[in-house]
Amino acid sequence: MRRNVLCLCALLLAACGQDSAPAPQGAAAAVPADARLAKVYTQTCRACHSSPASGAPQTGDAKAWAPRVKQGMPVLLDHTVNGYKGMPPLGACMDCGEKEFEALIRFMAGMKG
Amino acid sequence: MQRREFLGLAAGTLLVGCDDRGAANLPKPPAATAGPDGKRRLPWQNWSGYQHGLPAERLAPESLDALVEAMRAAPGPIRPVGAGHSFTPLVPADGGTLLSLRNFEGVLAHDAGTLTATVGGGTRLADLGEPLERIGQALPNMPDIDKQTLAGAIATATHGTGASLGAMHSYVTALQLVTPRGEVIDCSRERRPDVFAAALVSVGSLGVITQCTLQNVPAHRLKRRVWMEPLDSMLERFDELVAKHHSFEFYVVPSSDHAVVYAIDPTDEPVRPRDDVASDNESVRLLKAGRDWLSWAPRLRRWVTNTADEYVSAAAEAVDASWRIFPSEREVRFNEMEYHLPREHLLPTLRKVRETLDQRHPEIFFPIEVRVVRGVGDGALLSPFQGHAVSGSIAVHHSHVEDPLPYFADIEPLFREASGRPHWGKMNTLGAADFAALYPRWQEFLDVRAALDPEGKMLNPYLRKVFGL
Repeated sequence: MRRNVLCLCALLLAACGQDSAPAPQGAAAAVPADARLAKVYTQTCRACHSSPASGAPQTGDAKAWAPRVKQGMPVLLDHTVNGYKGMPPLGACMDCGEKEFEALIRFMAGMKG
Repeated sequence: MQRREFLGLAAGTLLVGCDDRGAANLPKPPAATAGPDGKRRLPWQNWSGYQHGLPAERLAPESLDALVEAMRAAPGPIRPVGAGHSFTPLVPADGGTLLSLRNFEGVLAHDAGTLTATVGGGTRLADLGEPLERIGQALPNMPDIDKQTLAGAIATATHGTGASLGAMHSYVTALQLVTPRGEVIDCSRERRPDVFAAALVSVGSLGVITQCTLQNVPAHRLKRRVWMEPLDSMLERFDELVAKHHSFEFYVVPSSDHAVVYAIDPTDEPVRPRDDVASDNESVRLLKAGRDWLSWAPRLRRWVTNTADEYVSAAAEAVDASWRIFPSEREVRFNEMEYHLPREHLLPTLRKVRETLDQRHPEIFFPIEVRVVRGVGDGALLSPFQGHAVSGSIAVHHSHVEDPLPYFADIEPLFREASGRPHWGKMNTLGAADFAALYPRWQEFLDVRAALDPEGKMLNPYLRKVFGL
């Protein structure tokens, strides 16, 4: 039975593990070109989106963002506003509006236009 | 695994799957409305998602002049927002203004001789360690979570742990306050001491705090040691451990006879960075899984938890700069209630809390957190630690997607009967009469508040209830 418990714990721990693929090169240094947006990004998003251990999709990691982008901007915005998995509500930017969130998502996901 | 155990596990899992654990009772966010630009006007919510609001305006002034103008002209209630890490409804500003100080950030000035630094109120604690280290300084103490802004942490009497360590506000030697009438007040213990004593812990009810001067200590290295041990033996050594360690706290693990113990002390040892950043979160997820699968069989759950605990007997150690040692990542969101008690009531109350949890709340999987805070000498009118030489704190947590109120309603009376005062940023049910009885200088605070904000522009409905206005 003792071995079973250990197996159970190991299984649970494995289930709780998160992907932590290496950050794409330059993820930590990249910031939006717009100075005001860059400030919001560095104060809020960057801590997790340039740190693979956070489990968050990394800035500029097109592969990680692709399935998320596929869900569409309304879903990404809802996840940002309401929080999703490890991300707190409003992505920790308490004064951001929809327009800023959209711009930040586009920047991190490397979306054009 | 025996056949009977397997069947029980399967049945328990199916039953648990039918129970939303009060999720339907959780407050729902207001619907987003369209703003003048056609874009959605977004509801605000706190970190746990329990508190909500729909402000008419969201402002982040970029200069002191712009802030003064905003305070005069913006629609009330004006509520300052930091990281949204308070569990009480301090921030909701329905129909009014949500005001962020994120442009008032960074180390603005420092004095190497006195080891003081003036820091923007919107600076997040997580962003303060590195710039302070560059000027040879460090915060004397830090909370377990470092996402908060400095102004928010001070406003709510946020604290760390250690018998000789005060809460964040106790290290503030001067601050700048902008009132809703646009008055800019620089105050300290010497300059307008009445305003200073009121403003230190003021839940953003006097105006907004744009900057604070902090009494720091030389940059230093700390060693953090985390271990598990039987709760009863640890409690027998509690006084000795508190006296021995610079910073000390422990967690009581539900459905277990063990405690997780954290001790932090100064050291000159070489840096050995923490490699356990994710482990606290994984442990909470594991405890949740134990609850989900085994809450129908309390004795089996306790046995499994105790057995698992015994396999985690080796202490984890790390050495690093103080600002990398104090805080932890808290990915698993929760709601929280914490009360500060006179030290003599701490352990007797903890026993009652534990009994209540064991007997009535098998749904709880978050550990009970126990800390100590130096109570003397901080001078804030609304310091919840005043009158306690050393204050003892007990915090209970509940998953953010489950209703916390039944658990908190059973625990709060235990804190109240021990003359506890609630943390200003954590859930409680107290009103003006309760606070007046707990704070000897309550009226003095109300008088200062009324003089600085006679129209009550800084008050939302929750603060009106708190102050009886």
